Amino acid sequence: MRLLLIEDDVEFAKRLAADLRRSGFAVDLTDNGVDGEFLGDEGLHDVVVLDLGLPQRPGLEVLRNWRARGNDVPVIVLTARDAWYERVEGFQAGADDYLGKPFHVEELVARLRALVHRRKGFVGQHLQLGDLRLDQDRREVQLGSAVHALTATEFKLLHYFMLHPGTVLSKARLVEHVYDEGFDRDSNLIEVYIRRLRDKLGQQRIQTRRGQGYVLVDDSH
Amino acid sequence: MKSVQHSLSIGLSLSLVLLMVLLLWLGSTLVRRLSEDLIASRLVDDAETLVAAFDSTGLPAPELSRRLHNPIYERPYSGRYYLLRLADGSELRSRSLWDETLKLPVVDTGGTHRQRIAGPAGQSLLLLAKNYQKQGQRFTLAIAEDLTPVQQDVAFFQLVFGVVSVAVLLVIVVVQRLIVRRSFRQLDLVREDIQRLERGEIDELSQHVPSEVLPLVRELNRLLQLLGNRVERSRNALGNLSHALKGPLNLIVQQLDSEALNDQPDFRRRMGEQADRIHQLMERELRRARLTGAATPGRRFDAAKEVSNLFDVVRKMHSDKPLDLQCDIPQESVLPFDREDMLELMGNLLDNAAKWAGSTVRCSILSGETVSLSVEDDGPGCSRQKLDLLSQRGVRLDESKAGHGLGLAIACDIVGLYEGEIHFEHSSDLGGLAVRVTFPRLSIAPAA
Repeated sequence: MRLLLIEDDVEFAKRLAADLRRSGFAVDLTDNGVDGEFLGDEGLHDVVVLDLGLPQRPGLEVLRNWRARGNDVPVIVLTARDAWYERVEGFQAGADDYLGKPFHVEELVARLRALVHRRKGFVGQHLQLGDLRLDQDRREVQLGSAVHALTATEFKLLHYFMLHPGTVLSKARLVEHVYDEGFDRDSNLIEVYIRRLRDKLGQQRIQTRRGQGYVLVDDSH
Repeated sequence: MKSVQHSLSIGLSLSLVLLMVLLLWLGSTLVRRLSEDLIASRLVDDAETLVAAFDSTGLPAPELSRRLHNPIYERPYSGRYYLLRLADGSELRSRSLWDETLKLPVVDTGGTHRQRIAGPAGQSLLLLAKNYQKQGQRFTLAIAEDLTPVQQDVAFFQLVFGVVSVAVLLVIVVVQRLIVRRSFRQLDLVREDIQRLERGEIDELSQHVPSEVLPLVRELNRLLQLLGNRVERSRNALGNLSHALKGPLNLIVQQLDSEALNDQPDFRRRMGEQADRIHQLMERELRRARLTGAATPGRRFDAAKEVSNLFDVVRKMHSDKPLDLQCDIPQESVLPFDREDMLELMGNLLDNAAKWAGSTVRCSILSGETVSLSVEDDGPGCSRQKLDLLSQRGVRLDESKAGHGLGLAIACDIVGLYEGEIHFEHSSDLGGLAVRVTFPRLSIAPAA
C-alpha cells in the first residue's frame, strides 16, 4: 500500500516514514504543500497523511483542491492544531480522519489501515477474504488452518491484492502501489513474488490474465 | 436606575410650578395694588369734595353741605364711609356708618395716612386720613371704602389663573414626555442593536444614531473591534505555541516508540508517562487559555448546524463502530455563546460519549429561560462515586481509553467560564452516562 506523507518537519517525517515502511507501507515523502498536492493528484497513493501547517500551501487548501477536482484519496490529517473547531474545519475540507500530535505510530498505523479498509468495504484492521485472512500485525496469512509468514514485499503485494479482490491488476500498477519512489522498480521482481505467494496460497488463488496482469480470486465458495 | 425621562419630567414640572406660583403672586399683587390705587384716587377726590362741603361759618357747629354730598355716603353699610373729627373731639360721620365708627389713626400734619382696617359688617376697608384746616377749624378727615369687591376679584383672578396654569402645566408635561419619548425612540435602535450584538447576529453597532450618542457608539465599536482582535491574536498565538511545543514532544514520543528502546521497557514506560503528562497539562492549559467565555460580544452558536457537523466528525473519528447519533435540537436554536468554546464543549462531550457508547449517543439542547444541554450514551456508565469524581480536575477514570478525562475536564472548565452547572448522572433512558449542562441565558433586559 503506497502512502504519501506530507510533513514539513523533516526530522520527524523521516522517522515517521521509516516507521510506516516497517509497518508495510511504501512511503513517499514531501515537505511542502505545492509538491504534496501535485503528488497526491498522480493517483499512485492509496492513502495520504497530511500535516496542516505546511510551507508554500496550507494543508487545508491542498485538501480542498483535491476534493474540488474529484480526487477522493483517503486522507488522515496529522496536526498539532486539533481544537474541535479545527477538526470540524478539517473534516469539512474533506479529511477522512484526524490525529492530533503527539501520537503513537501504532495508533496512526491502525487508523491508516482502518481507513483504507473502510474505503474498500472491510471492517476492522485485518483483512478477510473467504478463508484467506491477513494478520497485519504479525505479517502472516492464514488459509484455513494453515498459517504462513510473509516477507515485507509478499505482505505488501498480498495486501494490495486483498484490497482489490477480483480486479485485474497490471504489473505496472502493482509496482506503483507496492514500492515507493526510492525503490529499484523492477517489474520482473513482481513475478518472483507472485510465484512465492502462489507457493503459500495455492496456484489458483492468484491467476494470470495474459497480457493484462493478475487477479486474486475468492475460491472459498 | 436613573431614568432621564423621569428626571426631565420632574425638573420641568417643578420649574413650571415655580414659575406659575411666581406669576400668580405677581399678578395678584399687581391687580390688588392697581385696584387699591384706583380706590385711593377716588377717595382723595371724595375727600376734597367733603372738605369743600365743610362749612362752619355762622353755624353753632360745623356741618357738611348737602349740596356736595354723594348719596352713597347716606346708605347704611354701603361700603363708602367718612369721619371728620374736629380739634375739640366732635365728629361728623357719614350716615352709611350707621352706629359704627371708624378708628382714626394718628395722622402727621400735612401727610396722608393710608391703611387697611376692619370696618363695619365685617368689611375690610382702605382708609385715607389727612389733617385739614378750614375757616379757622382744624380737623382730621378719614375716608374709607370697602375692599371686599377687590378681594373677590383678586380671588377670582387667582382661581382662573390657577386652573389655567394647572391645565397648561399638564399639557406641557404630556407634550414634553411625548417629545422625550420620541427622541429616545432613536435610542431604542441602539438598544436593539446591542441585543442583536449580544445574540451574535451582528459584529458592531450601527452608526445611524442621534449625534448625541454617536461618539458613544463609535467608542463601543472601537472597543469591540479591539476585543475581537485581541481574542483572535491570542488564539492564534496559542495555536502557534501549541504547534511549536507539540513538534518536539512528538519527536520524544516517537523516540520512545523506537526499537532502540525495546530492551529498556521500564525507561520507556516511565518516560512515556512523563511525556503523556506533559501532553495532558499542555493540552488542558492551552485549551483553557483559548476559551473566551461570556465576556466576548458578537458570539453566535448555531446549535443544530454545528452539532450536525460535530456528528459527522465524531462518526468519522469512531468509524470502528456503527454509531446511532440522535439529535434533539430545535432548528432555530441559535445560542449567544462563542462558537469555538461551544464546539470544544460539545465536541469533548460527544467524543467521550461515542468512545464509551455501545451504539447510541443522544444529544439534546433546550433553550428557554436557561440553556440546557445533555449528552447521553448507552455505554457501561459509572458508579455513584465515580460520577462524583468525574467533574474533578483532570480525573481520569479509565486508563484503558486514551484521553479520557481530559475532554471532560475541559468541558467542566468551559461550563464554569460561562457560569453554568455540569452534572454527571446515570442515563435512565440509554443506561450509560448522562452529562447535563445548564447555562444561565445571557440577554439584555427588553426595552421598558
